Amino acid sequence: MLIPATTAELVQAAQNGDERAVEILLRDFYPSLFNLALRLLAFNRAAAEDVAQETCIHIVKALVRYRGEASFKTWALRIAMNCARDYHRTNKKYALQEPLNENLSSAQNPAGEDLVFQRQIWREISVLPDKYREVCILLWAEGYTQAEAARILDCAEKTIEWRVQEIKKRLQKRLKGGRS
Amino acid sequence: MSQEPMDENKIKAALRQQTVNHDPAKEDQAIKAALMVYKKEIQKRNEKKRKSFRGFGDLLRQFFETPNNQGVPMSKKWAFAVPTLAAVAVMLWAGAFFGPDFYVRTTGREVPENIHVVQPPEVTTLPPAAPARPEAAPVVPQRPVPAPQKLADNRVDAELKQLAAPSFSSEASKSSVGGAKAGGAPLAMLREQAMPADSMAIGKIVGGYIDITIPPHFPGNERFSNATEQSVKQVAQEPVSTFSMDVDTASYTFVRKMLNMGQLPPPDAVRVEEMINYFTYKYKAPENKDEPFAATVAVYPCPWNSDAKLLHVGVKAYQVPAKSRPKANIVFLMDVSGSMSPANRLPMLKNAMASFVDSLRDDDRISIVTYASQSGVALDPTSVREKDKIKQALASLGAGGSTAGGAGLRTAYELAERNFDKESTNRVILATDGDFNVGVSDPNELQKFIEEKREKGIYLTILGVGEGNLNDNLMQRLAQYGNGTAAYLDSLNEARKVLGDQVDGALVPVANDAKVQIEFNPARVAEYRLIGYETRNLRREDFNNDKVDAGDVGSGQTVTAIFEITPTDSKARQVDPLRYEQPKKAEDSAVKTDSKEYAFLKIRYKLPGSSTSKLMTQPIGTAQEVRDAKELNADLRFASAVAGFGQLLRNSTMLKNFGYEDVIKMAETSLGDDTNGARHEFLTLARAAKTAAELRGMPPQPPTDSDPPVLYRVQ
Repeated sequence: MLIPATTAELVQAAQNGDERAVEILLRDFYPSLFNLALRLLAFNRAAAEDVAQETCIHIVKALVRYRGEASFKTWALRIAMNCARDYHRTNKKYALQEPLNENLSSAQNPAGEDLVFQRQIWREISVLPDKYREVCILLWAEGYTQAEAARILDCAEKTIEWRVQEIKKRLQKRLKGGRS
Repeated sequence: MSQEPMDENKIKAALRQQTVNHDPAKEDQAIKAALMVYKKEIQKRNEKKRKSFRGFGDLLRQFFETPNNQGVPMSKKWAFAVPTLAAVAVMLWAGAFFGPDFYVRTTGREVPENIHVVQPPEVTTLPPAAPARPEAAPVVPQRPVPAPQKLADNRVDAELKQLAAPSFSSEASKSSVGGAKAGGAPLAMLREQAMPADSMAIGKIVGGYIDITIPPHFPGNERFSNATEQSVKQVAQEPVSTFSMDVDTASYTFVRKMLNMGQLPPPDAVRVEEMINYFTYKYKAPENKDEPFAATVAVYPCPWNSDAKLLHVGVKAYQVPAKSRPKANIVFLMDVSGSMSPANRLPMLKNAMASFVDSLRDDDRISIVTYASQSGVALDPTSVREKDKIKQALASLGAGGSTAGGAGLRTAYELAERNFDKESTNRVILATDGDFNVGVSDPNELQKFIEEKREKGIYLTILGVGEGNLNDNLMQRLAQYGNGTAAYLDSLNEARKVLGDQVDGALVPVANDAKVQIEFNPARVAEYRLIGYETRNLRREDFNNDKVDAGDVGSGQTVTAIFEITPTDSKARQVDPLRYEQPKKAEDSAVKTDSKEYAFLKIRYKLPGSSTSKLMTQPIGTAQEVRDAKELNADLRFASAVAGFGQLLRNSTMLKNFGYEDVIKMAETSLGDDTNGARHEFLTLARAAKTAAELRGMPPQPPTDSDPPVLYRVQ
């Protein structure tokens, strides 16, 4: 029987010039890259697709320099993160004023109340400073662990912990304020 | 927060809830763009590598040259040279230290099987590499050479293993340039000796290792098994030539594709016999299926050597009338991984298969299994009566995902087995653009598996499409193990030809394990050389051994073998006769050696379903000789033109002044009826090859020592 090659094996093959391995790698990770970009870019689908493509290109360019020090996935996601930041910088018009649109929860239609809450949360997150917003998306929306988030954001785990506390504080404050 | 713990979970849940699916079209687009960039990157890197190191002398020269190019005074030179020499000494020591066991010490792993360890001191005492058969595996000094019968199998293992384990190379080669240099003195020798006739052994020399994994190569990652050209044999020493019949045509279509792109094909991709066999010849046909072969033999002047002759053996298989062919139970195994999406891959196959279905009879059955990341059954066995259902299933196939070939193969065979019908021809047709690239955990198991199914009467045909990733070697090997054929489909036309026109031939085997043996008469023939069939050689004793697997021939197919022979009275003998050679006593042999026979042809085959072989024989004598090339019939002349062409593309050293121009001239006068236009197309290809060779600025030459050890290079 055939078993899938490990990511490490694929990466090595890709570094040795195996085009097929590159394709498999990219296909494996494209959904994660796209989804992260989508959330970082406030559910702007077209922008996220652009960023995902840009990320793929950056990954193959940087592949030679990848030394296996981080897991390939977090390494790739860090590149996606940077691409999304760049995109922000160059396309101010996609700023995150109104992150909510039809894209949001198009798949599972939650009950009205939930939907309202979801929108509210995303709106709150979108106004957080970037460093908090990113942590929020990585941990809560994409479900990465703190350790992974630390590697993706290239910072200490402690920093992430601290930011999480800060986010919670801010959100609590705002949500309460919103309600009253 | 502690006041309101619910809130946090609620927030997380709300954030996690949206699932947005990405657009596969956009994914494809992104990956395509990335792959293009990747190709460029690799090309850049390869160029850099080539430039970066030109040898030790160069390094020293650069070291001693001051920027203004005035040189350094002698005394200063010594100041530089002493540390340099010290460094060299350290490197030499390091080379010994970083021996093979260093790998084991540092990684705690066994040296991978695909890396054959060659320790420099032992290499110097290596006997000259002389594998028993040209297709034999590389000679590895440490290990006992496996029994010849297993050799071919081992090679597939190596191939499969190599797919499973990414090569151990680039990292190591960078970090241990010192080590490689340490063995520096015998480096050239190392390379020569460690790479015997079979260049599967080609690879980088890394420290004490030789990495025999095939280096990836851009553009195009096709892999070809590369056997060296058949050598000239002396009849006195080796009067018998034995080989397996080969009805594959994959090599010709690949060559055509390359030439149509304006490039000469890599020499290793050219299998001359497959080029010759691509064309149809009007050989004498057998009358009944109990003796399924008829041989057409001839001896005529050799176009590239006026002192030699060509001995032509054309075998035609019995043509089963379309009405009486058995039912067919066909399982299509389709690779639907992402890379199959270009128009000349999956869409082309779908198109060709639709017309194939039209050409089948109502009582035939078809099923479709797909494989990508997972394998699945796209169409359960369906009678051809329900054409629409089959075509609908075909139309719904789409490409996406990575490839897991092994699982798919299993599913396909299972399906074929479940619907196995003794009265039918049971066949799995695998269509793919690449290899089973997601790794093989146990290649032995996969091979055993295919062989086991072969015993049960399920045949395997492999169709290759696309370019850049084709694993020709594995394709051919698997087809051979599965009693099947491999074809390369470069265009819709070819796909239709292979699938459609040859329905009967491909579907109905008339003989299994067909072997050819030719014994030359030493009184008439001094030397001979078989053209092509490098990967099909058999040992003399294999001929009568029914356990030895060989080629399978389908209804109406033709097989051609051409020998270049040097008559005893010719000046052109390449090997001097022995001074102490004993003249043969006439009464020792069955036939008087001064008879009019050049050679004696024996064909051994098994009728389908039978496990014991039958034998047919035919002498080839002066009666079949055509003395003047002008009187030669068009078929024979055309076949010899193709033989010449194939050898030119292989950079053969046997052709003297024969060139593409001669091929064109010969082909022009031997086009015959050419009802399917194939010979005219050949003419176009020969012209394209001529131009491509001229553009390359030099006549085809065998690669020189300084060439990087790659399987082939695309100009």
